Amino acid sequence: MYDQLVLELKPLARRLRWRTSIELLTRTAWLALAAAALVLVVARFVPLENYSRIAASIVVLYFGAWLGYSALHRLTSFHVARRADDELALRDRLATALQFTKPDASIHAGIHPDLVARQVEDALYHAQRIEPREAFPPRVERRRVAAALVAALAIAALLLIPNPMDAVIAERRGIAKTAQEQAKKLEELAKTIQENQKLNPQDKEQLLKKLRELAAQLKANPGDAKKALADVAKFQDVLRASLDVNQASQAAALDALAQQMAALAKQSDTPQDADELAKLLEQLVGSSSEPTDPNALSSAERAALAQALQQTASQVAASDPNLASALSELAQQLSQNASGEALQNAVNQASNALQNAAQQQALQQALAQSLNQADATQRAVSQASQTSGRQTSNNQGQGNQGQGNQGQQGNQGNQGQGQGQGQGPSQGQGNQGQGQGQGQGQGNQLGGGGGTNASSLPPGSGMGKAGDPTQPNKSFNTDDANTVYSPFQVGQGQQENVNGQDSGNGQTTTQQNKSPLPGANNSALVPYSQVYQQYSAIAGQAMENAYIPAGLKDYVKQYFSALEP
Amino acid sequence: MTPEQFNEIAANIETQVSRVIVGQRDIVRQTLVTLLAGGNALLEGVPGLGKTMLVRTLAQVLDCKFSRIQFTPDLMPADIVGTNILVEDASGARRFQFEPGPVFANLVLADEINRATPKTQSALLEAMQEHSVTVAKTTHRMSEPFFVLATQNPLEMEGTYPLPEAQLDRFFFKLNVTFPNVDELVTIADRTTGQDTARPQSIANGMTICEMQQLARGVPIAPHITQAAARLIRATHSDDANAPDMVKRYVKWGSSPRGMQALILAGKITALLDGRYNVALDDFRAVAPPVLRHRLIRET
Repeated sequence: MYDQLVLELKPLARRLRWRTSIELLTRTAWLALAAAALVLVVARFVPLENYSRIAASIVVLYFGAWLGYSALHRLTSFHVARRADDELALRDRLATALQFTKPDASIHAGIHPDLVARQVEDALYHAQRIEPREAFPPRVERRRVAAALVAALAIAALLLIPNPMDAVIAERRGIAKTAQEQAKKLEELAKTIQENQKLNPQDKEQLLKKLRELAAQLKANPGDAKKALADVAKFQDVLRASLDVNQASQAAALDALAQQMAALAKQSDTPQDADELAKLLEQLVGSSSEPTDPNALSSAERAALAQALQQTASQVAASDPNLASALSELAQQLSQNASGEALQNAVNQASNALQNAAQQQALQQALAQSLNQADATQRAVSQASQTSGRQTSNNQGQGNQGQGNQGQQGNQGNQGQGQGQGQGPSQGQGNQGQGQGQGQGQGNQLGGGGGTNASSLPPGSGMGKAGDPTQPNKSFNTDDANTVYSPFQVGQGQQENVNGQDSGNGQTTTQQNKSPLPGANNSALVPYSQVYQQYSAIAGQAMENAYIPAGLKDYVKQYFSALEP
Repeated sequence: MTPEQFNEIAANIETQVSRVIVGQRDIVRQTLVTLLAGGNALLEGVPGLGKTMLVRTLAQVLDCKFSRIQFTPDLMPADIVGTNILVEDASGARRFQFEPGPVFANLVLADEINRATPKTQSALLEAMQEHSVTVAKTTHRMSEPFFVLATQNPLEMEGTYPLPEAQLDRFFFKLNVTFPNVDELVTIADRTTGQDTARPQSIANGMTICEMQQLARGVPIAPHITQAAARLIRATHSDDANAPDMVKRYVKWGSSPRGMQALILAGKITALLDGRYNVALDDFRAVAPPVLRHRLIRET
């Protein structure tokens, strides 16, 4: 009897399982769909990586769990009987019959056996007349199904309508990628500096440490342009503090000395660095102390050498007092026709000072290289933040190409910083990256010189003629405005005013200041590219911190792209 | 006795009673359930609602001995259970002989039971519980079936002796007799103010009722249904973990195990009357109010 009853209950069990699964689906699917839709909505306000996958994962996980529950969920015969009793108003007939017919059933003595048999027959009779489909129709909660449909439609709409945060995500990816690339370049630069034997080991180690720190910070950058720029700016500040602005003038003075000494030594090759210069100096002075030496200097040559040394000493006095003192001492010894130990000591001192200067020069070159690379990194990160956004919003490649060209120009201009030779305005338009001495060439018309990206230059020596510029005026463009007045630079040096000399006939005379680099220390004049970077970075920060619609961000980016040097 | 005969007799009893009693179908059904369960019922209602008529009619339908006791403050236990009296036989010998009181009947109507003193009430209540009375160390069994239907008036409570909770628990059901509606009143007027008065037919006797009682006790009840009854009774106690908030707030003391017995017995009879051979949870729902309403002591 029990088996027969269980057999009758099996179709009901299958139907109930199916209905339970459907009910679970209709009751809870809206939750998963709503959660997925919520993720997509949030992704429109917050840059969320892989938001589509997250939303899809929620839905897939839910349906997986639902399928698992449906497959594994089992109902015992007793539960089926009880549910049938409840829903079909069978008044506990089936459950009671199962209890009394199961193999281990113990029927109480007070129960009438005939009534038990009748009860089981009655239950079987009712069980056989149950049509599962009609008895257990699916119960669908319309409100929840409607909620699920609304959520599904919302998901479809959110997937179809372009997400403004895609631009931000692409921008971050671009920035992160650029930061990685720049980090590699910094590491390569660090390797180059590591191999440089001319550097003082301590200085080298400090510089390498800073370079590697910056590389590590850029590598770890998740795409935050603000942080990347801040890291680079901090690095630049540290290096600039160590940068000697007078180094270029010192190098120029030493170059001039080298040329004069090469002429005295009757050499065609000019010494390329301070080491070679020191050797040449030892050679010249050593020969002069031996009268029998055929290469010994004449009195006139010794005087010329002493004068050259004295002039160089005066020129490097501001940047390297030790070197100036040593050269001056040697010049004095030469002037006094000294010989022997005193002269040799002076030569040794000058030689040591020159070697120290060589180390300083190497360090300054390494610093300049590092700064150049930092500037390049700064520009690359800025460009990445602009280019990525523009690429995503416009899906065009033209803007990217233009950015690359502009960046190339800026890089060239920057390489000229502090290394350009002073050119008089009358010499016309120079190459990009070469500086122009300030305060020269005053007249009624502007000189036609170009190339003004140098911030530290040797004094100009050219003569300008008012009203007769050697080059015709040309129309202004941003490439010309390489140096601009930046009032925000106040506090980085003392203001220096240089008045022009009006000779009345339109000619100008050379203004010789105490400073070997007139105008070079005027920190109010900074490279245009630097000002541009500042303003661009500030605008970038504003766009990061304040809420600005994605569409309007493009306008700001386009504006700065148009101004980009 | 078969279940079919049980149903037929019960249906006939209800039909015959309904020839005299207008409306009050639930009261009639629950009174019949009480009778078939071998219990006693307490009817609460204002005078004139047909309580006496109901018991009298039942007695006529069942062909049983009926007695009515009007409870008053001066009613003594002996007035109910009877007493030993001195009698003289033909030979002149004198001896005490037990003279049964009105309680010795099959159907007893204890009218306004709360007007008697507790001592008198307890005399009846002993008979109700034990189906016997003890007088002068001699126990006298009642004839079966023995069914007491006590009434009490919810009004005029002054000078009454409300039944203590322990005594109330001995009643199988407490039935609230409601006032008839207009149609029922019109029918009552038509039936009772004319020349002819309806007279019910005798359907069964005491033996039949006993057989019906026996059959009802044999109705199968599944273990999970019995457990449900037990859980229900436990849930009437405020200290039970499964007790609903309403019980925890308003019930001082819940039902006794007698309540569960009454619930199951009434459920069995209800199932048989419904044509089933098993007790269902729905049967408990139907009989729970008369079973539990006098067994739950409320917070004052």
